[in-house]
Amino acid sequence: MRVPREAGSAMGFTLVEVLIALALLAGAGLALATVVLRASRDVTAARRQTIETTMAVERMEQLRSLTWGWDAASPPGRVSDATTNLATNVPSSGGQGLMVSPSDALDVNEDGYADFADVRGKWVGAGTTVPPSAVFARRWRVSFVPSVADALVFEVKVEPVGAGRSGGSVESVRLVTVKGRKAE
Amino acid sequence: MVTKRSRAPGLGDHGFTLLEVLVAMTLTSLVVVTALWMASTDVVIARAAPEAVDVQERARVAMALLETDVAAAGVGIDHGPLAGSAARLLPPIVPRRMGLSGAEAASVARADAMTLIVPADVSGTAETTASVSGTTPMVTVAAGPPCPIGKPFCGIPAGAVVLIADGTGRHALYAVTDVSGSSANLRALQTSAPAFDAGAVVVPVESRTYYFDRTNRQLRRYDGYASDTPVVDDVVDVRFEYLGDPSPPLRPKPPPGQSNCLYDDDGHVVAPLVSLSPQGGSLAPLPLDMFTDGPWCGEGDRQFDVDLMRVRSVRLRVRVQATLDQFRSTAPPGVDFRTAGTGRTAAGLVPDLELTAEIAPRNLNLGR
Repeated sequence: MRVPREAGSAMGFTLVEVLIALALLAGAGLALATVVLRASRDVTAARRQTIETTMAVERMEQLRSLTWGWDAASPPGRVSDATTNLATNVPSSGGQGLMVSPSDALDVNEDGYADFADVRGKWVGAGTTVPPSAVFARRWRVSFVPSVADALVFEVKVEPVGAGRSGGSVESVRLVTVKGRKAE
Repeated sequence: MVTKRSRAPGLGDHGFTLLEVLVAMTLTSLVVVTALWMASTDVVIARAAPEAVDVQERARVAMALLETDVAAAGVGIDHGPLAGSAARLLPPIVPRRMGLSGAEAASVARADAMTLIVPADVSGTAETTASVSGTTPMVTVAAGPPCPIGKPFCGIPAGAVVLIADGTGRHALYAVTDVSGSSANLRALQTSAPAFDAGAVVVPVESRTYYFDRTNRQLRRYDGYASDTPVVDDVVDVRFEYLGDPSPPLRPKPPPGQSNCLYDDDGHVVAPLVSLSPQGGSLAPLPLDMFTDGPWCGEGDRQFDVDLMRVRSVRLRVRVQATLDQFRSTAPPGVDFRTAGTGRTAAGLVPDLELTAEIAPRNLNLGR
C-alpha cells in the first residue's frame, strides 16, 4: 500500500502520472476539436443545402413560366413550349421545353434535363457528363398526370456530385408541382 | 521552503540528471505546442462558424421575402366589368421606387429597386359611384352585394391601402384615413393622382418597394407610405432582371369609346410595339431601357411604360457578406469577397453568399 504524501512535500509526479495526465488532456482536447470541426462541417453543409434549394426553386419557376396554355385564336388550340432549352446557362432554343422527359431523368443525367453548378451555385455545364468543377447536379422530369388531360407534373432534384459528395452529409433537395393548362 | 529533511527517503539531494530535464522539457514542449496549435485552429474555426451561419441566414431571409412577394405580385378583382386579374390593367411590378416619399419618375428604371403591388390581408372589391379626383378625395362606393352587409365602405377598414383603377391603365394607390357608411376619406400615396370616372374599382392592396441602399449596404423595404425599414444588413449586391412575353402587350384595353396609350377610341392599335426574340420558346429578356421609352399608359406618379405589361418572370440576385472585416480576406475583391477585409487565416474566412432565383409571378402567368 502506498503511503500518502506529506502535505507540501516535493516528491513530484512520476513519469507514468504525467503521461496519464497528458493522455487525458489530449483526449479532452481532441473531443473539443471534433465538436468544433463537426460544427464547421455542418455550417458548410447548410450553405450547400441553401444553394441546392435556390437552384431547385429557380428551375421549378422556369418550368412554370414556359408556355402551356390555349391559343386565343378561334378555334382555340393548345400552345406548348417545345423548344426552350433550360439546361444552358441562360435559357436558349434547341431544347425540349415542356416535352415529356425520360422517366429516369431525376436519377440519370439526360440531355436537356440536367445541368451542373460549382460550389457557389454557378452554372458550369449540362448534358450527360459531369464537368470536373461540378459540385451540384440539377435534374428535372416532366410527365403527365395519369388520366388527367393537359396537366403536367414537374419534378426537380438537386444533389451533390463529384467533389460535392465528399466532406459532409449534404442531402438532396426535391420539389414537385403540377401545372394545368388553362385559359386566362 | 523546501529543505533536505522534507524530501522523501531515498531521493537524496542529487537533483535531476540532464537526461531527465531534457525528457521533461521535450514532453512539455510537445504538449504545449500541440495544445496551442489545436486551440488556435479551433478558436479560429469556432469564431467563424456563427458568422457563416449569420451570412446564410441573412441571404435566406432576403430571398424568402423577395420570392414570396414577387410570386404574389398582382391582385384579383372579384366582380364587376373589370373582374379578373388586375395585371390586365396595370403592371404590378415596376423597377423603381414608388410612394409618398422619394418616389422616382416614371422614366427611371433601376436594376436594384422594384415596387410590387401585392394582395392585402383584407379582401373585397368595391366600385365607385361618383368621380374621384385629387390627392385627398372622399370616395363613395356601391353598397349592395357582394359587399358584406352592415360593414362600412364595403368592408375595407380605415388604415388599409387601396388601389383604384379603371380600364384604361389609369390607377393610383391611396391610404384609407377614415370610413363612414359607404364613403371613405382617402389620401393618395403619391404626389399627384389621376381623376377617375364613376365605376372605377377599389381593391385593398399593399405596396412593397424593395431597394438596395448602397451607402449603408442594406436591402430595404418601403411600404409606399410611412414605413421604410432595413430588411437585411451587409448586402453587397442586389439585382433584378426581367423576362417577358416576346409579343407586344395587348393590355390595358380601354372600354369602347375610350383611348389609352395602346388603343384609339375605335379600339384600334395606335402604334404597334415590336416583337422580341425569345431566349427559347417562351420568354425574352427585357432590358431596363425598354421600360423608359414609352408609350406611356396611366397618369400621375404611377404612369408606366406599357412594355412593363410584358413582364412574366423576375430573376432575383442577392449577395451578402460577413459583417466583420476579420472574416473577409485581405485579397483584392474577387469571386469570394466583394469587399476586402483583414482576415489572413483561411480557416477563419467566411465567403460572401450570392443567391439567385427566378420567380414567375402567378398572376402574370395566367393562361400560360
